[in-house]
Amino acid sequence: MKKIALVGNPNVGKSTIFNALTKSKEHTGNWTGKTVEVSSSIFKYKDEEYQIYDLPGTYSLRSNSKEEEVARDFISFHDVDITVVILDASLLERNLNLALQVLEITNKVIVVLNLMDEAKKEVDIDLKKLESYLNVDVIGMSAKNKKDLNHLKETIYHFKERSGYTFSYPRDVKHLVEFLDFKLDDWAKIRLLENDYEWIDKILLKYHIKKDVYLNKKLELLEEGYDADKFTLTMYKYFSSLCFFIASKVVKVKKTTSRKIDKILTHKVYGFIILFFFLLLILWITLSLSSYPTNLLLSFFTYLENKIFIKEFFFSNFFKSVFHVVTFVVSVMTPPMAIFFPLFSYLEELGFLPRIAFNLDACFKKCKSCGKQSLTMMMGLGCNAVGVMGARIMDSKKERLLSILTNVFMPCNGRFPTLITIFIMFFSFFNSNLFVSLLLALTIIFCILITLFISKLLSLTILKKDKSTFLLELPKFRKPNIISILKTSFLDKTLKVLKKAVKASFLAGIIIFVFSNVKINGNSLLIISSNLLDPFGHLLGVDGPILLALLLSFPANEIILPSLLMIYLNQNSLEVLGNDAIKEIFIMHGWDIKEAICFLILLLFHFPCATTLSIIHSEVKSIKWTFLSILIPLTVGILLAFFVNIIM
Amino acid sequence: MKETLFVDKSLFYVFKKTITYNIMGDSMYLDECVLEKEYKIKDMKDFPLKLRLFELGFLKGATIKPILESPFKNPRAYLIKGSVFALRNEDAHFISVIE
Repeated sequence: MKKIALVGNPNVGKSTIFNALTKSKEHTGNWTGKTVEVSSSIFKYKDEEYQIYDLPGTYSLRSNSKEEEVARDFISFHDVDITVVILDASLLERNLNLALQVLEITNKVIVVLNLMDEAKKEVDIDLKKLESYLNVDVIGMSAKNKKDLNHLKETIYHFKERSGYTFSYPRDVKHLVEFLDFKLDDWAKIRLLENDYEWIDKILLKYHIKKDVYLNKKLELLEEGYDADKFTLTMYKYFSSLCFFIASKVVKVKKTTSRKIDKILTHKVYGFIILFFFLLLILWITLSLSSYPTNLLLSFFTYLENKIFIKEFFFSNFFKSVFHVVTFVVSVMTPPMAIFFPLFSYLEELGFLPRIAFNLDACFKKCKSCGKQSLTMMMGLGCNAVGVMGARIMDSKKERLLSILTNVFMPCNGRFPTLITIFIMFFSFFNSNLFVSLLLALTIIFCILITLFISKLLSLTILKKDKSTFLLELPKFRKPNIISILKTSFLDKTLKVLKKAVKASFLAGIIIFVFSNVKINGNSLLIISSNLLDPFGHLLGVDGPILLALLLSFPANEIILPSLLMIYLNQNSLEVLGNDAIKEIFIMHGWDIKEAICFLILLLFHFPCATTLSIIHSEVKSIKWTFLSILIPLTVGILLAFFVNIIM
Repeated sequence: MKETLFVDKSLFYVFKKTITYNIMGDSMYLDECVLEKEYKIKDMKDFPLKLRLFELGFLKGATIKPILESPFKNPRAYLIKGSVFALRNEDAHFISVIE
């Protein structure tokens, strides 16, 4: 089986090509840093079978971000049969750099210029000429086009190694390379002279060169006035100018893109108004479209339940209770997700998100973080687990930790339904979806402010060291493909999150069953523990059942409300009720505006749910930070609720 | 002019300063540039983003144009070789340009 590696710039449609070739469903989006791990899959063409690897998007193999490291190690040390370098045709000048750096290492390369149809509007690219310059196969394509994909497959199928680009390095580089008389390719020698010491160690290890031999050589060079940093700089400049030289021969610019929309989006006043408007719009659409399917699903599941549990059977109570929890979570969660995710993906593919990061960077800078954090926060709006994973786009370790630790401050989709119900019951002075979405938008802004405040606090205390930098590309706006958005956001995001939620709610169902059915002295565990929590709850302006419900919803945030009702009604299974009935129950248990606010605060700021927590742990790989990710939001929630309880 | 020069040392200083100003006249830092005007990169000091910027085309002689300003005036976005990058002003201050 032949090994194929896909390398390419971020946001160039690499994952789209990978998906099209292998028919898998990796998520794609219009901003950098989607794939950090190498995903691999198999595809067949005619009689050949290929193992294909999707490497993280990079601009070069030389810099030192995590993605670049992964891609670079893969290309230099795995014996890849064909490396397919995918470049953005409309930005060839810059992106050729990557192709050249890959060509330096291997000649088994196919250069693919993607997004040709878009590029054609702005530039003329002479593919033949480029091919003669680079001396490897060059093809132009657009990943959405089936014919182009077949062309790519054909090229891969008939691939033959060619001589590749002949590099003529500057004289002093050549001189130094000749001086290093190891049995190595030129590229490896050059790397040994550069200042990326981690990579040097890897090369020495791979080619069995003793470190002291290498260091002795280097010492000799140092005496002659060689300087690793200067050498690296020379190489950077060499590659950059080479790439601009070739591009200038191959590319003719027809028309430059206008940035008029950007002018409005980043305007002093309109920028933020538009931002707020979009937030409101998304929430409003989600809200108004999701209540009907939710009710439909609920009644469908009730119907199903009556059919299944028509006769008593062994453990039927247990199964009924679990079934109840799971179906409730599914019906409350699915519709908002199925609407929110595509809307969000649309903005994402459009290229709207980097503009938000650009607008908000100043606020984040004040808090010693950078604007990219706003991107992870927006992902957190969908699901905190996704947001935590998205923190990989942050450049420095400190910023990454910051955005992981504070991500849970963004109310995720799982908390939306509860938020909305409380809003409708206690704060809906105007009975309209728009007003509720306005409240929701304001809540989100409040959460953003808290996030900023906590980020600042953290970087003043435990995350002091690094200074943050900000370098972000604002890509051109791209017209999103609506069908593919619907497909990927449903298959990839909605179903994925739903699967997790079903698992979590299954667990929650079991816990709830145990709590409500195990009885000591005639009182269920539920009652006993809620009585235990009661005094503490009163300190925070709420009561014991609320605290217990928050604890019980650790597997999945969605079940807070139903488990709260269950405790209030002293039942042993969840019950589905209308808003008015719920409100009546709440008021019977002494709820007022103050208690509702305290509940909302605790709902917004408690601990991450089980899924998020496990992902946090796998991302930071440290018990200390995982523990802090629980402690920080919990402290904030308790302090805020306590404060509200005192002043109101 | 020459006569006064020998008489008064402080005047000499002023004179010297005008000359430096004239030679360096159009050299400035990227963060001081005016929007929608084209500049050429002259030099870049050492700072963490330097190598990254090299690869993105921030080379000596490259044409660069500040095109966007975020609502708080910082960061700003620059058009270079057909793509747009946002840079904070403190980072842009490491890059000197000429008109």
